[in-house]
Amino acid sequence: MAKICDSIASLPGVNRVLIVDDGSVPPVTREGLPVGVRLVRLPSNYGIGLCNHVAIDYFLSGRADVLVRIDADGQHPTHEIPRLAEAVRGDECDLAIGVRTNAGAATGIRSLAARAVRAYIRLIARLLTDGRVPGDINSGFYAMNRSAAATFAEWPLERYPEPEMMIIASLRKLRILGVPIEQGERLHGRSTITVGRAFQLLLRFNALAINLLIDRLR
Amino acid sequence: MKIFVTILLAAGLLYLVRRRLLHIDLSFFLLLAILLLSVASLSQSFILLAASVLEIVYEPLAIVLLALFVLLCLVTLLSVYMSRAEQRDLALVRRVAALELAAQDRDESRSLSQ
Repeated sequence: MAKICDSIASLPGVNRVLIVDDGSVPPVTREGLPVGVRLVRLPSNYGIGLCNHVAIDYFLSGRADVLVRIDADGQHPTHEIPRLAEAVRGDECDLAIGVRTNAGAATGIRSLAARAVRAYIRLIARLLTDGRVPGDINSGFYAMNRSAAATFAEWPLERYPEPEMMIIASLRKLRILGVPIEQGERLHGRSTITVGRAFQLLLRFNALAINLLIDRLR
Repeated sequence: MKIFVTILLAAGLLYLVRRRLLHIDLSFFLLLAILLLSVASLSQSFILLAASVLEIVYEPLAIVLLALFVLLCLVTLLSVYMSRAEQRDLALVRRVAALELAAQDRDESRSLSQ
């Protein structure tokens, strides 16, 4: 964690690093973290949606112009942060997504099932948004401006919120840009997407899709 | 005996409310369920009517199905209450996190000004 924070804090233009500890065991401590890093620990594991809300609320309460969200397991390349942030700061887009060029390279039944689920979600998302969502809508590496953050702040984000965030952004006419990145190896921890949670995710995504479809038909 | 069981259940419910182990709003629907099932089990004509309306050939089955229906309604209602409680919980956690971060900002600016 300290290594990732150091590499982010040393990047040009980075004003603040915020760590949202989603009830991890053992908890993240301030030990070894660079000075000025903000750390907030949630009392229990609430999921990425709430973590995003915490970060978005903090971003909107300050004066920064770009918020970059990154996983703390080392999978997202920190050196790509300036590229994503610049795309937003340069007004090329409201939301820049790190599109993983090497996603789905893994084999095995679990990976194949995950790939199939991702393909299904992408297909439905493209149908709902007339193809406006980027190729990788499950990516958790993205940068946004204040306008995009204000849109997400109002939306109740749940666990694994990325696909619905992309769809909502697209339907609210936010400009989305896919920035190709190469995802690294997970340095620690493991995926929280179990078979049960994958079904839950699919159910929620389908409910959202049906809701949006009804809204469109009205 | 049926009346005794009904009174016992209602008394148990009131005890839970009195001890504040059960919220009064939730107890209302449980009380309603007890009353409905009591009426259904006490009145044979009600069972026969329900069986004929629902086209159930074996009449006693009507009360079992009615009990299952009431149970399903209660579970749904409890799920709605739980969902609302979860939303409140999330909103509170979000608010507490915002306050904590604001405090960290204040602490930093205070230490910089000293």
